[in-house]
Amino acid sequence: MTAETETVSAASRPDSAQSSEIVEHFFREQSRRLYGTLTRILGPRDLSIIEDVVQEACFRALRTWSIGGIPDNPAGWITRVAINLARDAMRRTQMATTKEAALIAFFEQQESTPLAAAAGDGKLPDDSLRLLFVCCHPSISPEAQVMLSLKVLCGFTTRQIAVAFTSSDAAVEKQLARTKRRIRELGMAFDLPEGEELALRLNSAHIALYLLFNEGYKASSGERPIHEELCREAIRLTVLLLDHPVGRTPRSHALLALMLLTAARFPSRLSMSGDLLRLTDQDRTKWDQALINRGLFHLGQSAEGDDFSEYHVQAGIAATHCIAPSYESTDWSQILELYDRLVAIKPTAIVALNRAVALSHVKGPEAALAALETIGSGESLKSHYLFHAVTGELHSRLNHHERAADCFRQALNLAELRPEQAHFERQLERLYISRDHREREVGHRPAESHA
Amino acid sequence: MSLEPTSPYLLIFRDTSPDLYRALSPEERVALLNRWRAWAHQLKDTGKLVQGSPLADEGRVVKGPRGRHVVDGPYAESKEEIVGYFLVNAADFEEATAIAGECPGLPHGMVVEIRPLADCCAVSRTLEVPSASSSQHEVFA
Repeated sequence: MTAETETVSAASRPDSAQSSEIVEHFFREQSRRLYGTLTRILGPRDLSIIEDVVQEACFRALRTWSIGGIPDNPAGWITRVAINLARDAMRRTQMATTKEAALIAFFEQQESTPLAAAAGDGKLPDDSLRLLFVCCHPSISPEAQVMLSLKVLCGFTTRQIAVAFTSSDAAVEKQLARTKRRIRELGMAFDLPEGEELALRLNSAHIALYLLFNEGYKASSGERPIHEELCREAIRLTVLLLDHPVGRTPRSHALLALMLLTAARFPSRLSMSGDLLRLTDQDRTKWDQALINRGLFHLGQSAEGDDFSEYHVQAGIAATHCIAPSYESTDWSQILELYDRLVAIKPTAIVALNRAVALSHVKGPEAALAALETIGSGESLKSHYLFHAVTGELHSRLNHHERAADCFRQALNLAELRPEQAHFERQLERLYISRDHREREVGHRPAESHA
Repeated sequence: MSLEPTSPYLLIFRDTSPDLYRALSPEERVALLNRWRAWAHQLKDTGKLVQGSPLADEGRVVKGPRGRHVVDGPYAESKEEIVGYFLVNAADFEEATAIAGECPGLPHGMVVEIRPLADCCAVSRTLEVPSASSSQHEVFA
């Protein structure tokens, strides 16, 4: 009996339906796993070949399983196909015969071990971490690092990466090709860095993971599922980093805490109609308590040692929000203190802007406006809608309605995402309503005094 | 088993644009597999699907009067590569066409060719290959 008929009968027997069920993320997980295994055997020099092999193996699985049904051990099936394809590719490109030998050895080991065991050869976390260090090499630009990570470590398609970065397929393809060429030129090894090199590489990986998370967090419109997926992947990869002694540093804990404590608030970010909600308007009962608890745990872990990075500070700020029962009862002086430290570590305009919000709750809106005066002199910040949004909010709290309206109009003009635009439209509407109301009151008073 | 007389039809699956498949996201691939699976199960449960299989990527072609001309690789004359087949029992051509029309591969550029098995086949009688007279077979038993 041939393999094909076995496959057919397995798929068509109702009782085996359970065992051959494959999960939604199956192909993504397989492509990650294969990337790791093949890069370990072939080295990171030939990521393009590896990518082709992984793609082709997954494609053949799709084509064959469509008609034949899913085999009993889908992961083993894909691995076997991938190893064969890799061997063919080696022969075609006449790559070092040592690699072919390594492939054959791996292949034979696969064949001789029970397939279920062969699917995961126990080196997955190690391979993935090595790959993470390859993708996040300091010689590659952070955005390119993130794109390659999405491809290689997260199993995203070019299309999905293009959607995530609001870019075109062709542009992403080009960037990925350039990055892979760069890795080749650098002659990067597939190893775990040590000593000083480790600190450098870890730092680079942290930046890429932070960027990946932010990319998902900041975009709230368009293809939302993709963006939440980016945050999930960032969390998954940071967990991976912490799973390995090499990556288990207080700073990695802080980064994960920051991600978890931010993600915990996702469920309340949008209203029923899909509008962005400000922190004050969010339903805190919707916050994910399990994520908050995990976040607080890692925040605790991050405090071991004397490292106090920007991730530590940001995680601290996120935690302060998460544990406050209401917006009003938030410990704003604690948040202001943390922002003061963040300004010292990372003196950017956006950080200063956020600090001003905290300041307004501690020392009042006037103090915050005065602080914004000084940071707003830089042109770059004035072209950002958030600057006008915050200034407008502060004016509104001081009942400077006209000035607040001016600010919200500017914010509306600069905002690019639809939910954000809708938010400013609502703010303006609120102002108009309160102005009309005020005018009516003003209109009444003289009449009363005349009476 | 089935009350109405049925005849065997071969559904031949051809891929015309593998690039469409290649462009699918991992999640779309799983969804497509699940659609195939549901389709095959439903055909099987109603006794219509007799047998079926994908074809492996390698193949050979034998030609020439004495079979001396042997070429590796699937028969490459056609751009529409045959990737597999289903053997189904259907009441008539119309039903077989309706079955083929539900193939989940169609939106992805797959082409399904329907060929009735000609009756009075001596080979099927000697080998007990399913013919118009025998419906369900032990392939799925």
